[in-house]
Amino acid sequence: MGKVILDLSMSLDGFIAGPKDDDKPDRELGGLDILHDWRFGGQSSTETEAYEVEKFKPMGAGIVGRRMLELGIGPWGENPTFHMPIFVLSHATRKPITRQGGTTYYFVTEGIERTLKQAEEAAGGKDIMLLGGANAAQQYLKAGLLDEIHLHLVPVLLGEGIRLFENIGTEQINLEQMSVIEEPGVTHLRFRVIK
Amino acid sequence: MGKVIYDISMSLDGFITAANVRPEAGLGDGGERLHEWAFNSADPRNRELLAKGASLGAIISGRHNYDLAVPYWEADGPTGDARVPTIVVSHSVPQDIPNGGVYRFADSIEAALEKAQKAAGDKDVAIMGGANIAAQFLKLGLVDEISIHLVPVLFGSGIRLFEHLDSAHVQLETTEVIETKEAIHLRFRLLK
Repeated sequence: MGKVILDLSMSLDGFIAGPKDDDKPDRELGGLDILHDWRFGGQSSTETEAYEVEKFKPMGAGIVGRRMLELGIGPWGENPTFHMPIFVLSHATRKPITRQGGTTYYFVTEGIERTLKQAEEAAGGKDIMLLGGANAAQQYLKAGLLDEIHLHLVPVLLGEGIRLFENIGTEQINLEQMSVIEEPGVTHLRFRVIK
Repeated sequence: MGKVIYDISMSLDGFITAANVRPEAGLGDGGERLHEWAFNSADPRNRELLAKGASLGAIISGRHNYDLAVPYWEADGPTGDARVPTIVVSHSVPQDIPNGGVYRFADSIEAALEKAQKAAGDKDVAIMGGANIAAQFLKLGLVDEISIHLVPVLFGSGIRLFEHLDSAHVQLETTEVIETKEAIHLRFRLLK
């Protein structure tokens, strides 16, 4: 069975989104895009491009929170970079949304474990990428279902916003570093969750 | 004049102590994990970083941090034999300062920085704890660099480093990344 990997951009002060959690991110207020400039800002290096391509190779399916999907579905576009089925943690059933290039958003209403099971079936032994947001990440982490945490650490202090690591209980969770890759405007950190 | 560097060990989830900080456990329950890179690592890169502390001109500490640490620091302060002058931000001067101690006391952030820079001359000044002091220095725009020793652990609770910044939006530049098993040492320059 594949691994479950959380993959998110985070500011040095621990935020994965600014305080204006809407689909019109406001740069002045620390909107979403400042955390993703390293990827989408038009200045991403060939190393970044290569990193991104490699990143998706072992992935067979994705999981995303409903709010994150609402924010992301626009920017991710008609031909999303995922090229795999994405399962959406949802409260309401709705028809799947199919995009070009192999990405389809499936809505699952039966909680994190059932969603993971569906993703695993679709992934066929490959890894599963948890795309966020914070709430989904926290739920999987707390349930002990995460195998790896891949963070793209952006050198900025947002001061406020949506924190990644909150509401994860008070049990110490030990991690092990797998790799650290430094690039202009971002440091990629990979950790294994010790279970 | 040297640089002002905020220097601290932090868990991946942003805590500079674990839960239940008290005199017997200054870093909280299990919080000593944060300092393993400094005290319990054979990695030469960690030793080298620690040794750099000796070349500092002065250190600034909060009072709470001082109270918790002084039993271990004793008269020589946080850098041991190097005896780097240590300025404590405090509204009062404690009664039982160790004899021959490296400590001086200042009743405001600005006064502490002035004393520290005077003592440091051309050398750098490091701010070492706690979160409150860090936030005040950052808000006043007095920090030149941030040095984070990022420890691969999630505490889930404790004292958060970045909590009182309001909506200050500070752009940084990563200047150094050193990977060791016990901690990832990250250094940032504040872009002003």
